[in-house]
Amino acid sequence: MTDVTFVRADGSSTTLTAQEGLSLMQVAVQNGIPEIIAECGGSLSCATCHVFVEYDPTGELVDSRGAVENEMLECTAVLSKENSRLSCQIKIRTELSGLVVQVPDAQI
Amino acid sequence: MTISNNPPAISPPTCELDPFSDDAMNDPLLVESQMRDMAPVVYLSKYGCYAATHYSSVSEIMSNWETFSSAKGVGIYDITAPEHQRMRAQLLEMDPPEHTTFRSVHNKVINPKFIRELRERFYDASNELVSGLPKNKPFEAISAVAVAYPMSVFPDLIGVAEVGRENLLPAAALTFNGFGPNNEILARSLEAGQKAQQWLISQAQPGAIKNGLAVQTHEVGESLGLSPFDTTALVFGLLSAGLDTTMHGIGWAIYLLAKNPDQFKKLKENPELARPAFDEAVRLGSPVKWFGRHSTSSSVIDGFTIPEDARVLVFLGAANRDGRRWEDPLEFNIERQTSGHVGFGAGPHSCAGQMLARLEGESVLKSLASYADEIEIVTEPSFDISNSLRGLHSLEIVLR
Repeated sequence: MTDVTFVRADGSSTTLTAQEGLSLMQVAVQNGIPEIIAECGGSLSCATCHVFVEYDPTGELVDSRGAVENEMLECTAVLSKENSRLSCQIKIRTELSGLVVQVPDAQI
Repeated sequence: MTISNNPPAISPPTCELDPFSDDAMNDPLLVESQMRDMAPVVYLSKYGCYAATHYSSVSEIMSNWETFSSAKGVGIYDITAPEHQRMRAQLLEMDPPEHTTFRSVHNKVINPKFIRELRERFYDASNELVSGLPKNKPFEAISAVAVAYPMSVFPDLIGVAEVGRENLLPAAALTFNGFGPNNEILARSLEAGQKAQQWLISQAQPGAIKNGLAVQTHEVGESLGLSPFDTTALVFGLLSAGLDTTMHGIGWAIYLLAKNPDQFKKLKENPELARPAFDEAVRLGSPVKWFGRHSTSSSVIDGFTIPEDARVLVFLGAANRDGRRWEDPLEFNIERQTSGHVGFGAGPHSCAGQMLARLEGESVLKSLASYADEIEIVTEPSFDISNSLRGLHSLEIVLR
């Protein structure tokens, strides 16, 4: 089982048990994390599932951004940072258990 | 030895229904539900192609672009076959990595940040239009709102001159009818739209439009190494794909809000629901009925085999109204979690202008909710007849 934690803008946090194969965005949407809007459903067209990676057990997440994702990260509602990712592009796997991401307070 | 729990894959059942018949045009939901009840993928014997109608099969096929290629056309026919040969639509009828550079131009020009900056301007425009609508008096809402609003903002944004704008809609209608079979609908659309399409092609050339996103599209395309022919195709795509679809989305939203007063009340109480309400209308109405793909290898989708070198139509609306994925799929619920609907497509070809469409939809619904207390239907709508779009042609309403 893969545990992932979303830290909200108000500091509160929610830890979810995520199913492998889903994207981090899908996990958030299915479990009602309201800040992850994901309007385009994961096709890299909206930049509304932005997260900041605070703790990454693999240490690889930030370096595995794709070109289109980088393009979209230039357009987020809250300015992206070095540890920004679009959660639709993070596939859940067991090695990610313990992942902590911060969600920004605006996506649109 | 490998032990598999999955049953062996079988061939999709043959379906003799015709999703392009007159009956289907008049009642597309009936045919679509009959196909969906048969299997996730069926074989349409009349057209010699496969059709996917379940949410699971549709989204898998659209996301798996390697196996389900767009390069042989996204209509019903293989455009590389001698009898159906035509020039491919750049971007739409390309696969990555070739597709990626073309798409990158749109991503850079109509990016979410730029669209966010249009918010105030678009909302002012929708307020102006909506506040001029009659109250307590019947009027035809499709032309007065669903068509008029995008026409008041979109051509200006692209930079289209005032003269000739009447060509935009017949040209777009022809593009979408052209994906379908060679039928009466296409013949009529050719008659009405061929000249208009020529005009659109001339407008799409570098230098024809003097400002707006058309100019930026040419410039950014050139900077990424695309030829004038390529950037012309991108501008043509913007002009022909950016209007009808949004208009239909808005038309559906007005109709569904009028039909569901409780939902309009919810929207009035919380105008922030305007944006999700538009997405819910796009889900339930699904302005684009289907797109085509071509299989590059044999594969198994939801337990059914699709052979290599086959055409596959994915029915977006059928997927968006699939009860296996959506609770009470035919219910219009503006508080529904709609993320994942395929009304704007999915995968690398998902709609490049979807954030612009959302802004237009959100603006006009917000304006309506603040202007009117109630929307009443006077006459049930008539629908557009199109090979690949589904939307309202007319709808008489009264605003109170």
